[in-house]
Amino acid sequence: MEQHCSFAAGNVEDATFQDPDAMRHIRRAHKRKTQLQYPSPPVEAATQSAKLAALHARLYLPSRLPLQTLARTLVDASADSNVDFNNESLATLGHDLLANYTSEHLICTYPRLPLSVTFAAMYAYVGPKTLAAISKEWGIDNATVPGGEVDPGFLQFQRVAPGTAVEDISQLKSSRPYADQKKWRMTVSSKIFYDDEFGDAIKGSVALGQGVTEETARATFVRAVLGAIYLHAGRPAAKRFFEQHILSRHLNVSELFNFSQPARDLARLCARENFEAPVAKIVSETGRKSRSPVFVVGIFSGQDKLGEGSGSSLMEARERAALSALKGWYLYTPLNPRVPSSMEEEGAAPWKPAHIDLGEVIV
Amino acid sequence: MFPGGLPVGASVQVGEYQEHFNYNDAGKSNQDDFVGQGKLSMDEKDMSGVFFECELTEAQNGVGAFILQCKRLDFHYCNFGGSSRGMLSFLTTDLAAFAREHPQIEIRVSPRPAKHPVIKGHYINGQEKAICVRNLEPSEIMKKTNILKEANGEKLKRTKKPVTSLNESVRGIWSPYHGDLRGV
Repeated sequence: MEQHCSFAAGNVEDATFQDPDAMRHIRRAHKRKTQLQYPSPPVEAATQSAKLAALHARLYLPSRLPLQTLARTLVDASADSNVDFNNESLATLGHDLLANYTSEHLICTYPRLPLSVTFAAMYAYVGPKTLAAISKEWGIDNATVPGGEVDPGFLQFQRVAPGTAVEDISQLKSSRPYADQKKWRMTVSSKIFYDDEFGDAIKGSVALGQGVTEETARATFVRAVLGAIYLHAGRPAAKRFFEQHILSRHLNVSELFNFSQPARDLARLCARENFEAPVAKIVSETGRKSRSPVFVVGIFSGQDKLGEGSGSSLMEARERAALSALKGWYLYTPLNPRVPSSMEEEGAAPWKPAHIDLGEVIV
Repeated sequence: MFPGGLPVGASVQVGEYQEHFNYNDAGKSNQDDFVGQGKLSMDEKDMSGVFFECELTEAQNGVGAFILQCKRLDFHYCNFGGSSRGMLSFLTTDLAAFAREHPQIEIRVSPRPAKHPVIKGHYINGQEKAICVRNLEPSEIMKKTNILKEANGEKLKRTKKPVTSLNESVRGIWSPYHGDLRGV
């Protein structure tokens, strides 16, 4: 009886082996089962993904950057903790490149920019919010849950559990003494030494199993793409990618200023630069006795007009004039500014020292 | 020296109002003049308690890199229905060349039995556009495909200006308070 049973079973198996459709189904199921073991898609899945190939073409990535690496940039450390398969190392490299290229651009283009404005501009160019927006503009979608069977063209990360305080996910890693004292006053210049490129306290990586926010995962992905381009296609390609995708974005730096007492600052500035003391004069006015007067006030240092502003009261117009004078000073741009990394190009002209300013006026 | 400053022209009318700045609070050293500038995040306040929203850079697609806004095209057909005849011919003859020309678009082909053939475009802004291509010839379907490819996913709207830009006008805005004085 037992013999008979095994014989029958053997017959069924033989019949299955000969049916190509059934075999395809079995192989697919088997492959899926093995894929399910992995926390992120296997390397060979990258060449099968239409989504990934489309992303490669959409970003005009160099052909030397393989699809497998592009797939790796989409796997966050929270999805796959294995450093050989997640984008952590690529993102570290990309982060440093972004910070370097952006800061040298800002410092060489606006050598007189106050530090706090430089920090704000850095945040505007390569802050996590901007990078997350860039990744959305590249058409990246999130995988609902990371896993080996997911299409490698999706961004894979583990989400933070609902109700978690996002600020407390990563531990403070700042070397600043008393860094946990949030209410203590921190000088702007100390932020250069202790804090990151945005003037924020440095935070460590997220603990395993905690998950990350979508914004963090997306920012890490964009950094990883730049790191991958640098590794596979070299420095010029990475620089070009940075210029085309990050630097080409629009930012009005003059909107980042926020003076509380512009007239006082301007007076100090003129004293420091040995200009004549600034004098406010009415340039033009209308309707002084009406309910909607307009005053146009210019600020003069000797014969030079430093700035001009208009307002419905003399004080307001004077403040605006002082503001425009200060912005005129701080937003000075040398003609054809060059950045140090331009010397890495082939056949670069000899380096001329960049303009280095005294810095912002301290009152 | 002051790129923002303008030379004093003949039109400057010096009124009775003059003020010399003095160094008020000069001894008080603080760096809080740029309050909230470092990172203007949502939880930071300036001195007056006003919440800031942080400035971010804005994308200008085509300045620098250009990203095609159509990211996916879905082609649905029916193997039985007569309205899909042109679509079936398009899929077998023309689609491969179209896909080769536009590698940045992900293309999906799937049957939709007992329904008219449809092309659906998926866009980066999350929108979807669908065009029914029943009884159309392959050449007409190619035109519809190109319409979807070139769309940016936004609803169609009338543009009144030839150019829209984030940059300020180079010439500036005319001011009634400047220029030569004229008697009334």
